[in-house]
Amino acid sequence: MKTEEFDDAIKRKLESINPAFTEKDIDRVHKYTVANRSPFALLGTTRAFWTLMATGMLVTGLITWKLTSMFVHDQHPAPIVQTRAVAPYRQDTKPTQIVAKTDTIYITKYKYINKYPDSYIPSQTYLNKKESAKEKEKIYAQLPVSENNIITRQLQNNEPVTEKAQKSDTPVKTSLGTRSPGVVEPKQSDNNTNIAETQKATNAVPDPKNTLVVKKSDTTAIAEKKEPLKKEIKKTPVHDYADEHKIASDEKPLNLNFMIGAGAETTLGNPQSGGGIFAKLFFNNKFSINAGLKLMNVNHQYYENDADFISANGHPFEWTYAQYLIQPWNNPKFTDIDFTYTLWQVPISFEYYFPITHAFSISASFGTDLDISCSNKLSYSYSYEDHYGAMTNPINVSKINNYAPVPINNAVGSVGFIYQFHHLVLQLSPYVTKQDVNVWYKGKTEWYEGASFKVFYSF
Amino acid sequence: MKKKESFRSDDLNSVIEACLSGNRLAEKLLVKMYLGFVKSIALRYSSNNMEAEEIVNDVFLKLFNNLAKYDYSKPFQAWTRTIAVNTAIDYYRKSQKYAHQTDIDDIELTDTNFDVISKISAEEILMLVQKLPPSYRTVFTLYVVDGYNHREIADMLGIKEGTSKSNLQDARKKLQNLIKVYYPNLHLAYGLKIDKLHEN
Repeated sequence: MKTEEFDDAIKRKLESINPAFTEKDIDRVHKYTVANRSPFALLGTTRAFWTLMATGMLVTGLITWKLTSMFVHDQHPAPIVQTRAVAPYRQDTKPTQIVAKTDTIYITKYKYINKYPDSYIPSQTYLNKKESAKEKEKIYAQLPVSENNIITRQLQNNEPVTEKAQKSDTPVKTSLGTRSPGVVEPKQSDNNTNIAETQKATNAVPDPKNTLVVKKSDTTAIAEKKEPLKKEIKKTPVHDYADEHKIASDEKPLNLNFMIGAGAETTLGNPQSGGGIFAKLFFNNKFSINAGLKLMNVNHQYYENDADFISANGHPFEWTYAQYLIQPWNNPKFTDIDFTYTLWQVPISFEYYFPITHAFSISASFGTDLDISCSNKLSYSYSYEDHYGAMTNPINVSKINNYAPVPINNAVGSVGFIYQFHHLVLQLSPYVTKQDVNVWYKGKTEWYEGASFKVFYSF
Repeated sequence: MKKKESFRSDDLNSVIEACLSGNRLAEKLLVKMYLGFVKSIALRYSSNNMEAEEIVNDVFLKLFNNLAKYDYSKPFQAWTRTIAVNTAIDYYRKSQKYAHQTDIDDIELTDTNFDVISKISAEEILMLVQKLPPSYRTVFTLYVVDGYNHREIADMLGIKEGTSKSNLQDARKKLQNLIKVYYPNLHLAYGLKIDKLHEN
């Protein structure tokens, strides 16, 4: 007998063994597993558990980050800023001198001359491109009258800069903070030609072409000329102006905001409908992570009688749902069979925003709906033959069964149309859901199309 | 975690989901559905019924501990079989610490007619397999019944591939001799010469 034949013969014999066992054996094995089972066996290994853990940690971390950054900004409103005094037009090879003032805030607020592309670029330009010359003039007019501001206006008006203004040692407060007179702040005048530089601050060799000649005799005249403006400005404290315009520092605070709201959604075709509460946590103006909790009714089924149920499901209703009614003598009849599945879901998504206008944006989001709980409400009526062969009156039955859902089973993509009115945000989002895992409680539909409408409050 | 109050007894996935939610009735049903299958595997890797029952207990313990990891797209029976075989191997490793190594020098090559095996019942074949030394029985069952190759067997048991091949060959010889010893009349009836019998 060949080895292979011997092996096959033995294999067939061994595989044909079907050992008998009793209920006692089943109980014994089951008791053993219950007594020795790891308490975290079913909890710690489920995808839902780990997904919820990860989501919880992420959200907690982001909230902590947000609260911490808010606290830090409140405690340190004016960070130290280093201002570089650089002569943008210089051709010499001297290194740039850094003037650091630990007790003074310097805010650069002017644009640079375009013809010097390598010049120092201020980190925060107060006068942006959109501001008109008129607006600039208005801002200049609101600056406190000081020597440096006089220089500013002189430069702006192509007037010679006064020596007094240049030599002042007293830190000057501007609308944007305090500025040292010894630090050069190159700026752009209307015709982009006049630039002031202080040699004291930079130790640089002044370029005769660009150094402004200070005429001592002009100082008084200019001061007198600006006197009405000076009186007007004195009425407005500098710090108030800075507070109003929120330009107190070079440091750009993290723009991280919350939105909390509520909404409702429904799908077309095989309807899934429901609503819930939602939250958005923004990382910047264009990106957010969204989460929520919603209650959805899915896969509603209604069968007029048992025949309808059999034609749709291929087996009698009582086989699955009413085995206790199957008796050889009563021949039950079922009517008004109604299934409603209810899901608690945690929708999680990432959303990117495309601002269209000041109040209107379009967004695109992608995520999933985590199924965390599933229950089924089953109601039906039945009647059966009594001992005399007559059908009894219909008996109504209503049951609620809870099932363990499959946590991650779909992917959701949507486009959002967002309108913001002050703190109120309205969002209409058509969406498409792809059912990646075929879960029995959602039916067999693979693609769902629907829309949601949500109202948020923006903090 | 909410307990699943009802499940479809004819739907394995429904039973598994109910087990995952802690439904004791579903767990019992799952044990009932697969106890015979698991025990049949355990029996051929063990020396007796008591050992098999220990393996069965451990198989179901592992099964429930890892039920959440079960991939619904794959056959549950194959998954259960893998757990059962691995558990049997673990049991073999543990028992080897205390095993008395059998002298195998007395094994002699014999020939066994296929008809002889066909006349022996499955339970009797199982009894003969259980009489093999554990190292032979394990390699023989892994290779012949469960379809592992020698490389896999060597990795599973922590032995050399050559040892696996040698153990398999020796297991075959030993099993053939056992058949002759225990069923001499069958050999005679089918006209086979009974070689020198060796005591087990």
